[in-house]
Amino acid sequence: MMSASLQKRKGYLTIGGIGTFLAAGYLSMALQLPLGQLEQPGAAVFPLIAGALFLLGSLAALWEGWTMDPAEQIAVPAGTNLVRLLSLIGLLLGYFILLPWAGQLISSTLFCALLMRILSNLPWPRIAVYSMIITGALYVVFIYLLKVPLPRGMLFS
Amino acid sequence: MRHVARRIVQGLAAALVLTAAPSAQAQDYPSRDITFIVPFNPGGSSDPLSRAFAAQLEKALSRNVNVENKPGGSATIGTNLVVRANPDGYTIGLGDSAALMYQPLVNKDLAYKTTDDYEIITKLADVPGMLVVRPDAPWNTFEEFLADVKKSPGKIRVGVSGVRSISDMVVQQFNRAADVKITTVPFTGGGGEALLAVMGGRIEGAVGYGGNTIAQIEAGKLKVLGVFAKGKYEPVPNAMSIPDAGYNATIPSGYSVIAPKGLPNDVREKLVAASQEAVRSPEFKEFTKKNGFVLDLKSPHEVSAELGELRNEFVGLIEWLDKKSAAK
Amino acid sequence: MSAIDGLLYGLSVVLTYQNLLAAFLGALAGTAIGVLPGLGPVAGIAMLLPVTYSLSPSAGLIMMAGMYYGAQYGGSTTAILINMPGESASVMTCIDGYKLTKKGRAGGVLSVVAIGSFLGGTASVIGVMLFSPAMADFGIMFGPAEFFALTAGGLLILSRMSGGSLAAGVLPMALGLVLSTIGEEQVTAQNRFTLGFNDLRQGVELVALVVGLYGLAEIMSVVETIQHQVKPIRVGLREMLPTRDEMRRAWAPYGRGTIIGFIFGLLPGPSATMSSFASYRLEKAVSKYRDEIGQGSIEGVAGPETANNAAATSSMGPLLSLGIPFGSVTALMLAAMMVHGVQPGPLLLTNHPEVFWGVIVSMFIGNLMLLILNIPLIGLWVSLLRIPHHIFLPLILILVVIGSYSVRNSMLDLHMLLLLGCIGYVLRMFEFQLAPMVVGLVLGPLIEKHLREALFMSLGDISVFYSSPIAVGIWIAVLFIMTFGLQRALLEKLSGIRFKRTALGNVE
Repeated sequence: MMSASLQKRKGYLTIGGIGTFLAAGYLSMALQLPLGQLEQPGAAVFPLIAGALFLLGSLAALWEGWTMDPAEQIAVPAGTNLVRLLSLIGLLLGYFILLPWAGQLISSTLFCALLMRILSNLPWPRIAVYSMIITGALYVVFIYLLKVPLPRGMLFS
Repeated sequence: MRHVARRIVQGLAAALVLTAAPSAQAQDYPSRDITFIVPFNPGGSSDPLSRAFAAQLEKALSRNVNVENKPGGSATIGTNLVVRANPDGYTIGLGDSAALMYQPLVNKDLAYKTTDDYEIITKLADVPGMLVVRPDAPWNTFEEFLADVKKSPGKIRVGVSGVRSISDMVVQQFNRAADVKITTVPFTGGGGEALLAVMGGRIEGAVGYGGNTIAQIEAGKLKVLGVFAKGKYEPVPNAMSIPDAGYNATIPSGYSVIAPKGLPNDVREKLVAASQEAVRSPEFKEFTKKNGFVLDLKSPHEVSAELGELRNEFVGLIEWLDKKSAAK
Repeated sequence: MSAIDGLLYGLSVVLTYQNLLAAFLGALAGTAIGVLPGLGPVAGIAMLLPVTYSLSPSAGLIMMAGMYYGAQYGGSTTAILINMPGESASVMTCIDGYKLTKKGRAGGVLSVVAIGSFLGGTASVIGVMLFSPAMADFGIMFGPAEFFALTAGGLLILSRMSGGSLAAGVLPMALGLVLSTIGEEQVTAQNRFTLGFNDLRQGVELVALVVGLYGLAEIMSVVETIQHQVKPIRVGLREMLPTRDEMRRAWAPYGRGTIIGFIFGLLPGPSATMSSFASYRLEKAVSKYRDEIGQGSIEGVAGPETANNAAATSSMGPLLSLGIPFGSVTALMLAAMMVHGVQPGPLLLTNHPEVFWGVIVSMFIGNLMLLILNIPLIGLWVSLLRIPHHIFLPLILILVVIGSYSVRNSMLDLHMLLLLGCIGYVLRMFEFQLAPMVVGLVLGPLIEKHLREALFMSLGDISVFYSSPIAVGIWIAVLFIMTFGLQRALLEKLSGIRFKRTALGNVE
């Protein structure tokens, strides 16, 4: 099995902890905003309500984690599964960084090819053909026919 | 099979390089499509104005002019993009007078401060604000309305499209000029909610703009008391001009066309000529007339001076408002 | 002109070659826009706006209306098949729809949805026709205080959408509210929580949130567990059709969904999305099979999908009769009218009856076209599930990127998409609910705006919130719905009768 398990309790405690921390930071930023008067309520009013709810939710997560049965487990990705998941996230990030520079056509083709390589063990030439067909078809439909304005890429402008 | 695949790859790569080859050479401008950035959502009155203009600019330049909406941040996000774009004449955009002049006064993170930071190509149009009330309201003239405002300061409420938006500023300008206190109530969301609130009797009046408001007036759902502009405003010829009555409240919603600083001279000349041709076209005139825009042909230089005056007006108003809220 | 005369006149307008084609193309394009994740009706219509300018005003508007309700048909398809809402009005459909797909009922559910959308849409057109003169006044009855009651009450009701622990519902909802406050707020144009990034002033886009939380998070878990994936079984014609039991159970949600959708469509705001939330919640409270909702029941799909279609259709009412757009799609249609030289407003019916009745009658015909179009397409959609993952996932990811970018042409939205995808993945792993987060982001700005604007309007007098009969009525209804389970338990105790199904998990 390529998945590990984790106490659900620990997950709740972690999420609640991060949430409490973020909520505290958010509330302290909200306090810097103008509060206004009753007849002119300012920008701080609603964030204070939202932040308080966020804090409440995070504390509830902490409490529920604290009282949770330690035997409750959930599956988390591990091993090659984790590697695949992380490479997907990395690829997407790379795609978004490349997009404004290299433009839609080149970055999408690259992204498509690399993702296909991760998901299958097809040989490179077939991957290259497939990814060019996919991105080429999408390009024709969206950019050429529908004129969706996508980044052309700074390299070429 | 492999061989074929490699040939396709090579062919596609060659095609890619060809399409990507740099092209901008000033004498053959425009050699590709032009992008026109609108810093607002589609919907609302500035988007149709931009599209009507872009359609005529296409004819004048014989090139596609693609309208792109880049909304947000009180129109500063799209304006920033135009200002920072490559000054090659292929990216131009709609300049909203509040985004150009008011925003730099209150926001330090913008790519522009004054008219020196971008090129003005042409003025498009102005839209003056109209003060509207319910048809069964007790006031039939602006004077009657003003008398009531003086009688109960702060009690008469007028809907505007946001605190310190153009419509708010023009009411504050009037407050300052007439030394009265009309309370402005923000109705954001842009869907004419302020007009709805007037019709529903929740507030006494509203400042409305353009075709949408004119249609309600023509249908008898609203009554217009005055217009915040000098002279006669064609769509409502019988309405009184508030500045002509001696109260200096004139800030209109104004639109021009801007481009990034540093255009090559011949590109700029061509763009200015084509834009003015588009603005003068009968189709564009017809569009503006129908939708309550006031055409305003001005040279880039005159527009720049006009915007400078507007900036001074904003600076004065902000000072006055700050002093007033500090005194409270 | 009476409704019947209008109907006949409208028929004569629509039954021309150009207008029929416009309705058909609009409906078809709308379905495609709805199916594509990220690409919602607003972005889609904005993209095709220039095309409509080359048509006559009525044909252009007929086409745009067709795209809007067509998108409501299509939006549910990916929600049901791959747990990825095609647009935000289909978020609720994911919950039960995807579970039914896993049970092998994809075809049946898609048919139920297509029929429901048709019924909701058609009933709503009849409503628009009969009540359009009165409709204008309905919107006027609602002001900031009434909307505050509607949105804040809605948030209270929706915060515990499908049971679960307190933290599992409240934390995501609060996170949604917090995200909604990022950027420039509308009332005083103050920048909030932008951390000095000018681009953050535009705020968090709903499409990025919906597609990230659901779509990207789902793709992540597919990629992670790719080796354990089982290919969906081949679906025969028989499985394509709903079973008799499924149809029988769908009727009541169809009816309730239509009424909810019709009413929400007459109010300002993201009415299609809000009506689908409301319908899901209503089914959860009153349906005979309420205990199954959330585990894959037909009611949880039929109700919301009927409601969003009815809302999309009835929102044409205020636009045509009052000339004031109540949502972003109708604002676009208004802009299109202006470019065409048709003055929108209360006089539209008098000055341009061909536009008014043409659009209304085209919605009958368009809905019928969509039903005929969609039933055969179901087989095609279901067969998409059989495309191998290494082709399907890159394709859908690039589509998601194009769609999310095109909403505002913003790179920030793509980075947000990735971030929210990761958050969605983690939250789902720990069994937090995702729908309340969407609810928070949709309702947050509306609640804030109406709360503050009501106070501005009343000059700081808080009695504005409880002096209007409509607002009070809404609050009473909210209280009633929230304590529904409690009331039922009390009733059972008093009468001594045990109802067949107890209101488990419904006591809030």
